Amino acid sequence: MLISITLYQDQEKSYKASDLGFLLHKNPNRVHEFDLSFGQGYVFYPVANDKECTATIFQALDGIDLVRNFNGPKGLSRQLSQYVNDRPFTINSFFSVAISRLFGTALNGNCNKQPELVKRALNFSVDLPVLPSRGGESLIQNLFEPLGYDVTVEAHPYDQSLSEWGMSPYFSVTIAGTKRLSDLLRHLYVLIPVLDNDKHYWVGFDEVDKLIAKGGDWIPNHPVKHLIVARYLKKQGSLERKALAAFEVTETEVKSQQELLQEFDAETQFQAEEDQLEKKVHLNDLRIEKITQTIEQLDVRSVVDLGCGEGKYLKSYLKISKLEEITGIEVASSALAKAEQRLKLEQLPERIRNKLLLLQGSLIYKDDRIKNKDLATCIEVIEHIDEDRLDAFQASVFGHAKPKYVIITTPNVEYNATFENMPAGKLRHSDHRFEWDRKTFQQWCHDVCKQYNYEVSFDVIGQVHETYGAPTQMALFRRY
Amino acid sequence: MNTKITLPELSLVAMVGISSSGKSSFVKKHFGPFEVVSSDHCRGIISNDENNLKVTTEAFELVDHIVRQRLKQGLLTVIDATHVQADSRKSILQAARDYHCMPVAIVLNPPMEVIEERHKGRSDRDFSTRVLSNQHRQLKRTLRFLKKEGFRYIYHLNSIEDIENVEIVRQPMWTDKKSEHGPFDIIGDIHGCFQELKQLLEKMGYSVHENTDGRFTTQAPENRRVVFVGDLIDRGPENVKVLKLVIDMVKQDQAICVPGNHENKLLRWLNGRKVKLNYGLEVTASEINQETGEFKQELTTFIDRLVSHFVFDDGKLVVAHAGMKEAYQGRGSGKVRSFAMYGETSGETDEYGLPVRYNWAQDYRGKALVVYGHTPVPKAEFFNNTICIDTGCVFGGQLTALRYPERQLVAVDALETYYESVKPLDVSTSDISQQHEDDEYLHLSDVTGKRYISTQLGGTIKIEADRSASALESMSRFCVHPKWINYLPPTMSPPTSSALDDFLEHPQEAFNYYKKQGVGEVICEEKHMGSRAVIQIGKSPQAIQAAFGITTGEQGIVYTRSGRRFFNDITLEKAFIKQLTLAIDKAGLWQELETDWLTLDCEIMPWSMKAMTLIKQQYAAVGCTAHIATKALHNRLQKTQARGIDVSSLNSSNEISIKNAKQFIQAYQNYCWQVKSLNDIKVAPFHIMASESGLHTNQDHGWHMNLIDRMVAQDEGLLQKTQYQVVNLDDKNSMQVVIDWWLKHTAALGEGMVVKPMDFTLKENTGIIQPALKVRGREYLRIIYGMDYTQPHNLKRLKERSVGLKRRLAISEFKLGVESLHRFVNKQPLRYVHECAFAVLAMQSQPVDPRL
Repeated sequence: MLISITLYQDQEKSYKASDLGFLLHKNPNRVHEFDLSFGQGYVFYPVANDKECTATIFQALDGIDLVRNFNGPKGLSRQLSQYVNDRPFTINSFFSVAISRLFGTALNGNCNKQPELVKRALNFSVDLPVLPSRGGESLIQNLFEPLGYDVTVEAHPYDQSLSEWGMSPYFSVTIAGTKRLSDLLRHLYVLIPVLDNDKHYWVGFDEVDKLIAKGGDWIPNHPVKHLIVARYLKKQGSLERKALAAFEVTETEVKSQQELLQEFDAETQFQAEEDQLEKKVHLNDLRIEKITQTIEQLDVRSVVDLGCGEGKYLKSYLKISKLEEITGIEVASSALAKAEQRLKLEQLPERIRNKLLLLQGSLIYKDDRIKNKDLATCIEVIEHIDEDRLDAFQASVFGHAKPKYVIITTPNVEYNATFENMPAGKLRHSDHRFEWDRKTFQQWCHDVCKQYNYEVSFDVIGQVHETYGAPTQMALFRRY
Repeated sequence: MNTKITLPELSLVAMVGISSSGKSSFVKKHFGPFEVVSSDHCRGIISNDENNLKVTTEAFELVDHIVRQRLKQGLLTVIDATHVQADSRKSILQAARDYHCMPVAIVLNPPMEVIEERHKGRSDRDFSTRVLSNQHRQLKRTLRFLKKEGFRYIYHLNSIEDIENVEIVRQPMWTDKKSEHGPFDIIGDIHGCFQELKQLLEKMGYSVHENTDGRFTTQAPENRRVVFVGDLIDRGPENVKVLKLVIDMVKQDQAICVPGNHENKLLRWLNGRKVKLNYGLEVTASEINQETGEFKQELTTFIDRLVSHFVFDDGKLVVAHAGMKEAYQGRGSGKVRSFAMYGETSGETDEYGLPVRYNWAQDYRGKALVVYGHTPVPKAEFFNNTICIDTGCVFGGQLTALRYPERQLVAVDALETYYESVKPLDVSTSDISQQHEDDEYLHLSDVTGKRYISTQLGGTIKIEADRSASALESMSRFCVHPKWINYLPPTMSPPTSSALDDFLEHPQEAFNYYKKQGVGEVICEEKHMGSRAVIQIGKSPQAIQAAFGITTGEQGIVYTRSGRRFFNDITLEKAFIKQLTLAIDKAGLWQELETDWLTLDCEIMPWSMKAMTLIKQQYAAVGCTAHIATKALHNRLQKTQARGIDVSSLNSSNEISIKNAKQFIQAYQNYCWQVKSLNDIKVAPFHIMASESGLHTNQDHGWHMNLIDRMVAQDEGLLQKTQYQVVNLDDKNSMQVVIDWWLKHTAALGEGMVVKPMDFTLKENTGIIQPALKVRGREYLRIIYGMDYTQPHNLKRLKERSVGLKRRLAISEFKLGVESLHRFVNKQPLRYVHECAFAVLAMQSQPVDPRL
């Protein structure tokens, strides 16, 4: 982990560049060594003269110690549980911690020896040889340029000899600007983990106080303040709200930056794709509305939501009073646990609580627990099943569980043509195994009916496009 | 004199008698402490008070629950309560009915004076004697109804002497022949086809001699005995002759017989009941009418005494005419008897006017093999651990026998069609076996929850519920069709850390391990750095269909060690399989192994084909950042040093890091290349796990390598040879040769080698030993332990690692892998094979040091 801070003498020669040693409290003619929690820190000066003075900070992280004794969050793709990880070589949150350890006084804008100089904006440049940026070159620019820095960025491929592997998320960056040292350090302190979108320690309420202390005077004026706040606080809603309120950021401002945030995040978390695409057309709300309406019209008392995920639909089923028995089936235990939290099960009145049963199950195994239900809903689920395993899904739902009614919704692939920036042939979600056009879906439904004695009617969800149809297609099956 | 009370081994006994009639001391004397369920005790459990009448309902609910749990286990149970009211007996009779046990009442009714005397002496019953006389009145009224209510055995003990002198005799169930282990030859429905029966018996080595009186003397081969599944008569030409032969064989203790529905009907006719003489009974009846009265009597007694079904061989074999569901096995009731002879019908009739049968075999999950007849089938085939051996001889089919325990089928063709079947015999429309058809869809309850799997290699493996939950997720979301997965390879442990200063792993420790386990010879195979894969491959799509029940026309598949499809590109997979088939063809392996399919355990290169994301995001990312960072640091340090400031120690350690970063990048690059076509793929098989001729884990590794070498020689473009050496662990030279070979191989960036005992599966006193240990090279380990792991202060710490858990998992997964193949080659229902694969996935979800 390496960073160099260079101070240049001003034209008036009102100070010497080597005064940097005073500002940092580190004598340029010595090598300074520090014990840090996971390795050694060093400060030394490759250049130190009147015109130019560079302090290099190097931290040798002890990889083995980190894997064995570190109790913090394991980070992106759990990299801190692997001996082979980029943390020792990149600039990241370990560095923020190091700055406050090594340059605490400077960070707070104090200097006994040069009390005047420390208050002045000086000509600095900072060299960051390996800066990770989850959001690419443009995020680096978006973060530093509004603060008045000149930014130079060099991108690196994953492997110099294997160009087909593409570009890595690592950049060599130099920022230069006329800043007070404490401002410069505070910018780096906040923005490095924001770029990396990761932190090696648990983020709690004290992190909001740190953010306010380090950024209270500049974040409110920063054009991507919401992104800074959200990523710095690791997207913890309650923390974000506290910080945004302190910075007096309005609802509208937050909303207007939402998209930008998702755009940059998309590169690290492709999970949000489908939500993003469909958000503009409010598909999720429309689906809930349509399904609820349909249920109101059917003579049903028990419902099972197949592939209930985190309980998005179960939540609205709980509000339909005629439903006496609600079952959620989900294959991922982690999603079920989240559903339990999201539905606040333990806080519901007992009468309502007892209606609901959450079970781990799989749609391609026959399951006696979901037999004899009036209705099964399967909302945006079949496209997550491999096409050649769909027959097992059919056998388990239509052949074995045999509910009176089945509602199935799935994306209409034709509609994808209307999504801006969506390359042809790409599906709405990386886990979608297929997306069907209307003809394929309807043919599949008719085949199911023939095999299992159901009849089917079709409906649409979302605004209908005259050529491509609606974004979501829906089928309502009724058992003969 | 003793009063004898006979109890069938599976009875539900209700003690009947008023308070203080001596029930509790009676049951204490005659039954085990757990066999008695006392209503007073249950009152106590619920309310801390044995006399609390307020909890009567709850107490009896508890009694009922306990009783039912015990009956389910097949245990004799006694209920100690007054039972003077009809209501209180109802639930007993219901439980006995539900679990097909004999309901028995033992009535204690000593003179009232004795009871009143006793009552006064008791301090724990604080009600007046009026309660007693009330109870007594109820009892007297009751006694008349016991039989009508449904108690099958009722014993009255009316005096103190009677009560004192009772002797209880437990009688084994008629159906219980668990102590008879065979071998048996179980013969299907004969229906009067005497000639075919004689032929079949002779084919199996029995001799049948007809005496002058028309009776038979038979001789069985080597302790074998015949079991007839019933329906000996009707429709065929020589019914009486069949009956005589069967009766004589049973008499000579060479056969056992269970009754079929046709015998049952015959019995009713013999007993003079009004019976419609149809479905062939008319012929049998007229044949019998020509026999002596003596024979008629003999026949009546014979059929009357036939027991509905039998449980043989420690409960591993059940024979019944129409089949037997698990819950009925070994039990006795009208329902069980009727099921044994007729099966259950769904109440509907089919297009031929015949009753639609409940397909009990489809739901069968029992441990016992059920052999039955009753329903003619075109071919006898094992299905869910049941087999129907009625192959419709009388309809012109075959007469079939199942040899047990060999599980081998023997059949003779019908000499003619004696009777036209209403329903055409061959109604099956599917090309695959009934088992494969039924296996298409699995049942959740066959895989989830806490599970115990017992394996051939010894020991029962326990899978925790949360582990199987995560296996369910990967199986459902990512795995190929379960029918493909007959094997998932086990994980592999490294040896303990090397004693040498500069190595983390070294062959010596692997040799030491096996030597300590008493192994004399090991094989050391070059370890390829790619991705572990299992290949299922058939000579043709038909071969795959027959062996795996896969009907998609695929000729094979490649899947990863977690059961996911290896190839994203299906056309590439097809071409791969095709080309591999040619090599197997040319090597002559199909003929040699008498098979048309193989399960191969392999490594497929390049590593980057499957692991690209990981390589990029973890290895290349670290390589590239390390390269830039160390260079930048070098530059800064040079400048600093030039200023006369001593940073030489920082600099020298950075110099090492620069070199290590380069080696690190080389290490992973060596395993990566772009796959544009099949020509860029290499496959190195190292085990031929199984084929139609069975499991090949009984062959040593030399056998495997030899066959594989021959295969590789046919196509060195696609196939990669695996270098190997055999080491004698008592010979230092032999070991040194391999150590040198390993050093050379790993210096050239080879991953390392795998050391295995020559025998595939080796059992020691302490259990199975490690099937393999991997010894990875010094350079290769950089991508596992970090580029600077070889620095002395790092290596020293890294040597402290524990391989215990990894080794336990390796052994469990190995056992499970072999077990699932064993079940597969024995054509067991898919759920039993799947259960093992599922368990391996469950084990894979267990967190273990990923660097081992």
